[in-house]
Formats: sequence, structure tokens, C-alpha cells
Amino acid sequence: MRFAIIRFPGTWSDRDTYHVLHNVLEQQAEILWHRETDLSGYDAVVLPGGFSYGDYLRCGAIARFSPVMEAVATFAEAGGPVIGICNGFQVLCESHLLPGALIRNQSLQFRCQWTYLRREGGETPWAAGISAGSVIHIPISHGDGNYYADDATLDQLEADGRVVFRYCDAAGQVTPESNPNGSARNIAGIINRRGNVLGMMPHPERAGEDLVGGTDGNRIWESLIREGLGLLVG
Amino acid sequence: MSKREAKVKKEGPPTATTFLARVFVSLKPTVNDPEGITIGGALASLGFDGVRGVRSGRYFQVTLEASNENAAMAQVDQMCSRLLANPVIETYSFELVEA
Repeated sequence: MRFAIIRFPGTWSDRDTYHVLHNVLEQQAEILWHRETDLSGYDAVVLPGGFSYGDYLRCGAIARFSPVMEAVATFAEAGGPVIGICNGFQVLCESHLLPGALIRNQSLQFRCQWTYLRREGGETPWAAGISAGSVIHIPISHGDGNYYADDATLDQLEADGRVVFRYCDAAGQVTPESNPNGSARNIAGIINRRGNVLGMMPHPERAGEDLVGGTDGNRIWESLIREGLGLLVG
Repeated sequence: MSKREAKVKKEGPPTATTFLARVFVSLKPTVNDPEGITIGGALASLGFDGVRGVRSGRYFQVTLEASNENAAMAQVDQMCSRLLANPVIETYSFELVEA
């Protein structure tokens, strides 16, 4: 597969993502500067983590107006798989490609730690290889990851099965203690209506080798690589 | 001002007025504001027993040129709804004065 990894001024996880996709999973991957306007020829788009534009105004608010974002919206509308990780998730929300917003962590602290995520429902090529109810172990690293949407939006997300990951404990129990940032209903990741766009605060690209503490993050990339393309074509 | 500049000005568009917009952005009442809560706690610990709530927000000063006040209002409103505030979590208000 050919991955486009978007680099905004201030993106910091682009090379981690490249390393995992190219060196660990042996996929084609390219890092594209945010002024790129053509995403044809790529099979998937990654908006990585970081602090685009210094998190000025609101996280992701300025990156939303980068030239590449129009191409990302077009790519997503055509059904192309898009993942926004951490700052990428914030950019997707600011762009209205996903509902809700990510606000300051409840603790007001930057949280850099491993979390457990329970796979909920939701048909998406990004998590097709992870069965509902199973638990994966992936780190977070953010100060503004507190997912907010109004109750009507949250109810709709749940009804549509668009909550893909929830923070939980090692046993898969969704508890207040396992919620690292105060996210509404422990939400860690959601998809758009069609399922091709996933936004998540945890960093799968930082759980790609045993050396760094685990490989559960690869299950997300491998979902897309092994099963996702089949889903999209079918 | 030289004669040439005067002529250009005469033939150009109607003179624009410079305005100053003071923009206030705050979190919607339904959105939790941990920063405001923490500041409220700090005020209480300083002995301000009467404090009943703190909400944090942002303040912008935007200087702009527009043909008249209505045009300036319309522009600032667009700036707020498209960039300065995120309507999902925030509300905004602004006041406009001639700069």
C-alpha cells in the first residue's frame, strides 16, 4: 500500500509513522509537506501527531486551512482511508470531517502514558482486524485529548456504532480511573459515517516494535493493509 | 501628499475606515472548563471567599479596514464563526469601535 503522511509545520510524529509503515511493515510511505494539493496515487492518508502551528488558537485550528486539507477532504469524500492521530484527530474535528472537539485534559496535565483501549463497534477498515470487545495497549501523549461533543451528538455516535475505541483497564472494563483525559464516555477514537475516516488520540505508530514496549499499534495498520483494501474494493 | 498620490486616491474605491474589533470567545456553558475550575480554586485559596465561578476564555483585538460599520461587523462575524471560535465548543461576542 502507498501511504501519504502529511507534515504540517510543528508535526512531530511523521517520522515515527514513516518508520513503522516503511521499515517495520514494509509498505510504501511518503512524507508530504502540507502545501501538497494532489493525493491521487495514494491508498491511504495519515495525519500524524504533533503541535501543528504551535497549537496556536486551538489545536488543529490553523492546520485545517493548510492547502493539503482540501485534498484530504476530497480523498475522504471519495471513500479513501484517512486516519488522524492525536493532533491529526484534532485537525479532523476542526475540519468537520469528524464531529466534536478535543479540549484541555481534565487534569490540566500533559499525559504521556500507556493506555488500554477496548475495541467497540463500528465497521472501519482501520480496525477490521480487531474484534469487538478485545483490548489493545497503545500510548497517549497529549495535553488536549478530552473528547467533547454534546449529548445528542454522543448518542448519535453510539447509535450509529461510530465509537471505535474507548479507554479501559487491562481487563477491558471502561472505568473513570482508566480515562486519562476526561473524554466523554471514555471515547478514544471515532469514525465518520462511512467508516473510512478514523480519529484517535492514542498513537499506534508508537506501539510498533517490542523494543518500544509493544506492537498492538500494528494491528491498526495491518487491519487496513490486510483486510481494509478488500473491504474498500468490495 | 504629492499630486500623483492625490489623484490615485480620488479615482480609487471609497475611503475605507479603520475599525478595532474586540472579540471575546468563551466555552459554552455545557462544556467543562477545567482551567476555570482550577483558577477558581486558586482564588479561593487566596482568600476570595465570594468567588462563585470562573470561566476561562480568549480575547482578541482585530484591526481591520472596511467601507462602513456594517461591512466591518459582517467581516468580524465571519472571522469569529470560521476561525476565532469553534462553534462546537465555544460562543463569541464582539464590539466594534472606530480605531
